[in-house]
Amino acid sequence: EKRLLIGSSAPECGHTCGACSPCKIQIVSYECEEDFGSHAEACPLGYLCLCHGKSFPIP
Amino acid sequence: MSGGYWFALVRRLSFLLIVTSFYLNLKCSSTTIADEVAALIELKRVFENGELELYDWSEGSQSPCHWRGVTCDNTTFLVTNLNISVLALSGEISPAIGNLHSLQYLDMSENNISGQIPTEISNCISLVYLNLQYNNLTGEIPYLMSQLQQLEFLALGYNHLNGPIPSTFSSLTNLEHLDLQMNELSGPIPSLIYWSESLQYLMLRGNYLTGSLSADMCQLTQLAYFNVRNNNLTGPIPDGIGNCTSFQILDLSCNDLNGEIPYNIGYLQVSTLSLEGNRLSGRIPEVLGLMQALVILDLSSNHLEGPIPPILGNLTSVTKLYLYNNRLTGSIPAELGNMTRLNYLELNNNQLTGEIPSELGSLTDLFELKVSENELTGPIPGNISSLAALNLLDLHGNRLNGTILPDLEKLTNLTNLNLSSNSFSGFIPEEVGLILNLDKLDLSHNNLTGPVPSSIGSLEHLLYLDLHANKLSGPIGVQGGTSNSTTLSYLQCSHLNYLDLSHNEFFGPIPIELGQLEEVNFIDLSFNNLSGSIPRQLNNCFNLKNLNLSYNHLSGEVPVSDIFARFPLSSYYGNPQLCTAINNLCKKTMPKGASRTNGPLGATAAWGISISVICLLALLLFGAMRIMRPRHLLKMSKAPQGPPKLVTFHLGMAPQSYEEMMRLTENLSEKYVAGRGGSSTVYKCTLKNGHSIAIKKLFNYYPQNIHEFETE
Repeated sequence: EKRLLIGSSAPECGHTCGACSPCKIQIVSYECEEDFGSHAEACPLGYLCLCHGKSFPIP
Repeated sequence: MSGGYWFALVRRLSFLLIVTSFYLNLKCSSTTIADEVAALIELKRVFENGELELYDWSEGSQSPCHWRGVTCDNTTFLVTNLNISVLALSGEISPAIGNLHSLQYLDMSENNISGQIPTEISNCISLVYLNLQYNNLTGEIPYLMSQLQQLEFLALGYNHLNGPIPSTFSSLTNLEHLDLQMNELSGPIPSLIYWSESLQYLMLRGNYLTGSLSADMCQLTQLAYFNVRNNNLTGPIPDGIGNCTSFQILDLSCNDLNGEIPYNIGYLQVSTLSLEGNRLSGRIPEVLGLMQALVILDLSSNHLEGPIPPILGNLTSVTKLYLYNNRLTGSIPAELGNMTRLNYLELNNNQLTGEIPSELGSLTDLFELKVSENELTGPIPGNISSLAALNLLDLHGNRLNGTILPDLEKLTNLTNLNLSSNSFSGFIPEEVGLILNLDKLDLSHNNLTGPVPSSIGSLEHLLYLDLHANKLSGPIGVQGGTSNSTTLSYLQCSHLNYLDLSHNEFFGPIPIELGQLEEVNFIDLSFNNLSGSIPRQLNNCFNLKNLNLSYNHLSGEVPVSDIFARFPLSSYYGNPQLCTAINNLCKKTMPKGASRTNGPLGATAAWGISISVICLLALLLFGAMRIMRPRHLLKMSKAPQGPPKLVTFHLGMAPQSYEEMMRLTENLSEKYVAGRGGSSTVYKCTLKNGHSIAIKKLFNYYPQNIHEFETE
């Protein structure tokens, strides 16, 4: 189990996009609405693998 | 482990039982097309404006398959999809919905539907997708919905549903997306729903959920998104949190969680970790510095103490680091300069000491730097001017000293500069006028001297200018010395709406050019050495709501007509030469009030005592106002009110004024939101002539955003 290591690293896409290339890691903003009084820029960010506009979940 | 196994076994058994009953159910209710027509007609009848919105749903029809929003199966001709979202339907959902046994996809979102979710919906056993969000549904979530065994997507957010989250949802073995946000759900999060092998998205934000988080949440082996923001959850973050290795987003913010951030959090692979707005205590664990997949780290508004671990500098993918509103001590680690992707660095409202490290100058992608309300000392580091992307620089409420660097002109994207409540000295550099996008400049409560540079007049976007409580001198406005063809002054900042020059040493007359500030609503020139009369040109400042000219050496009459009728006499106190002209009789001179100046205070000791009591009260009041001030400013900065950040589309028609747009959209109310992008919100605004325009509010003014705007 690789998960025994503490800490994490920015994911890599590798062959996640299948035959499509180039398969690039992309930071995407999840949809969110500002709560009253909350931070204006608080929308969560995550990673996706992107290839020619098509997105694939990270491995 | 064996407990988990038994649990899984029990769950499989219950699943079998439900499947059996479902086949029985199907047997005794074979649906015909006629039944479905009847069900849909009944559904339409119970919607209040069904007749209007679903006009082609007619009783005599042979088949409903061509009706608005209806899709049928190609071979059976039974209804499989019903999409009647965003149709302004009101009224209720008829129990007849339960007769559409072949329905796989049901979307009734964004209507005005009220009443309860009918239990009969649980008879739509083929449902894969169910979306009822953005309505006014009330009552509890029917626990029988757990019969919808095919369900993969369930969204009930933005309603008024109350009661508990049904623990029976745990039997929905295909459920991938569960969104119950922004309801009034209460009780604990049922541990059973954590035992799902299919759930990928769990959104429970904005309810009244109580209880504590269970380590069982890590049994969600496929979950990528876990959001319980804004509930009433208590207790600690479970020690076993490190087992939630599938999570990409973990948002536990704005609850009542306490205890320390556990070491095991370091095992998470999350990109967004939001723990803000709880009561977490202890130190920031160093292990966070090993979580290099992080893109957002938000620990703000907790009770964290101790130093900022320098190892956080290893987080080279982080774009947002929020540590504000804690009790952090020590200095700002120079290592933060290694976080080269940072866009937002907010360390404000802590107890940080030492100097601002010059290494922060490497953060060339930074949009916002807030280190206000700490105990920082020393000068602004020279290389801060290499932060070319900087939009907001807030250093207020520290003990910083030295001069304001002329180099700040290189910050060409700066819109908000706040250096107030520090010990800066020397002149305001002429180069401030080269920060062309500046809309807010606050240098109040420092030891600045000399005149206000005339270059400020070239800041055409400037909305807010606060220079009060310094030792600035010279005349206000047009400078005597400059002999250029057009003498600039900040009185030419035509959008200026807030001007505070009080508590300085300005002298000379109040310039008539103040009347050019058509949008100004606040002018405070009190406690200076201004002389001459009050210019009638102030009557051109239609929006002026607050005028304070007290404690100067003004003379002549206090105007009472037009705009001046709005201001109380206290606006003019402490100007012994000034007289009121009420009823055209200029007899009464202005009351002295609690004079700060060295005027004659009277002879008797009793008079002296009463004056000092008033002074004391005034001091107390002033002190209280200083305490109130930062919060007020914070609010201002949250809701910037200014034209430069609004972009209008479809500009075929006459340009609209900012005020009119704000009025038509009720100050950009949520009601008028047409869409949202990563960098902006788009509002729809219908003009008087019936045309619609779209208004785009950019979140920050940065070349990248301008580019996005062009592409949309």
